[in-house]
Amino acid sequence: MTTITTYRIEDDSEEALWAALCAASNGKAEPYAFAGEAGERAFDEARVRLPWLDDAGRWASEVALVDSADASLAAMAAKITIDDGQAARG
Amino acid sequence: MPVPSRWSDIRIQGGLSYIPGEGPFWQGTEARPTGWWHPKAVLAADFLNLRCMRGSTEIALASALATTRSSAHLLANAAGVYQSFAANALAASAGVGAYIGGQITNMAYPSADLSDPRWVKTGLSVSAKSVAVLGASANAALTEDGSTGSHGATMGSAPRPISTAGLHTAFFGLEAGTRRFVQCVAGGGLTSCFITIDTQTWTVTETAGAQYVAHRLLGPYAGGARILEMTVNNAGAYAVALAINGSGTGTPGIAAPSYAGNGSTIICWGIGATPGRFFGPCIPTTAGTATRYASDVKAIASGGEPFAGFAVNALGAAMSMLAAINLSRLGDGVVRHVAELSDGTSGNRLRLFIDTDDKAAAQVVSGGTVLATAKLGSALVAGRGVLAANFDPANGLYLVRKSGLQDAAANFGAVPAGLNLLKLGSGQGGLYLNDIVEQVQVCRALTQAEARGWVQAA
Repeated sequence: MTTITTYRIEDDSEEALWAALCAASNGKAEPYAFAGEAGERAFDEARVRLPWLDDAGRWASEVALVDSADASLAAMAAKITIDDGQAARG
Repeated sequence: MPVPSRWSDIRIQGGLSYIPGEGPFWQGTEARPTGWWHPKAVLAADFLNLRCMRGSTEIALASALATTRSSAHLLANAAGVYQSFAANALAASAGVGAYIGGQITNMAYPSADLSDPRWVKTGLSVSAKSVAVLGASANAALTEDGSTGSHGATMGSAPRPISTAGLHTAFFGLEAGTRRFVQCVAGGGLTSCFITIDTQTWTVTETAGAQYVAHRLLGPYAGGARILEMTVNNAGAYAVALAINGSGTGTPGIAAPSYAGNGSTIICWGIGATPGRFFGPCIPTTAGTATRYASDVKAIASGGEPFAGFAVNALGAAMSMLAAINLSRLGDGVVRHVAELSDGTSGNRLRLFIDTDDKAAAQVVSGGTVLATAKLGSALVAGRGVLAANFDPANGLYLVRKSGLQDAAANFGAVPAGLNLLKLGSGQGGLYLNDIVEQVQVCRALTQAEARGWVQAA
């Protein structure tokens, strides 16, 4: 059965959030966040929910990994959830 | 057993150099027949029939293509019923093809149960519904009461209006009820953009509002269901609403069509709202927003063949891409990739895409410089589109389209080295197709006549 581990990452700005995910991407073949064609902040949309401003006024994002885990994300996550992946993430 | 005739293999000027369905004679009789793929194909993904070929051998799609998507994905099958595909599984259905799209978050919730108090009702009641899936037996009926006034439901305080300005797309899953007209509303203030639909003929009878950008009406699906996607460029807070329309003529917004109700109904089985231009298949929500992650579909490298290094693989220094797509939507002014072979960067790539003006194009980029672009003269139209692109330094970049056999060509010096990443339905930097891919084939370089022959036959 598929397991999806979702790491909620929060920071004070979208830029800081992107930088944190870039740092967590170090040494990985598939980065979570990276600089786009024009140097813009880009994310791996297949695994990273694009940042949004939450109710508390903080920028939030989620990295969802299928049948795998990431210690560097776990170290920075505000929340970690594990589900069976049968529903779109809420 | 009949012996293949060499005479039949002699090329006629402008025609195919082989019999369709069979290989050219230089492959030898042992190579015949080649099956459903092009004789020069090294990889062929046929999503319409859920089959795949790599290196002249049929293999499972999942053995040749890796899909990354950290969420489930709904897609309506040929019978018009939603199938659910698990995370990291390609959303593809026989007779339909594969939907390959970018990340979408449904901000409206709950998406199906409009009886929930978070949807504010005016002049109507809503029967409960629990499943936002096409083909479900019990869909929610919105029943107008006997009051004189408007009759509708809108996002309330919990499914909050989206506060940011910009492009947003609303999703309305509808079926016919006993009231003929329904009005779908989206945008800032709920007063400036709406579409009225005649549910007897399923035609859009009215489109209004300065914020309006585009719409598409899809279906029919199981039970006669339809989907309206409606994109607006809202200036401020955004929300969606659905109103029963007694007259079929519009007065904007949820406060609209004022009339005396008589208990008539419309049916809504799903509703949604997302930033951006595309929504795609329904994304059910319950107590909060929900995200369908992007689908990244890539060829799996297999022992150096065929995509472990473009310069040293069986393709040689030239190649062709063949593609059949099925577009439900155009006019959005964005680049949409059909297929791309790159080195993992946007600086070195061969790509087949739809440009911002909806015209198909093929392009060679090397060292960050565009070496050549071949672009067709007229825009694609909604429905099936068949394209073939030759990336061949010896004969130039060549793109041909089935309809009217339009073509375009450009010269370039050499294919960039180190291309080893084949993406289907997307490219570097995202730029997803956000629609249906029926098939993609990657071939050794075709002649222009072979490319024309394929698009005519496909």
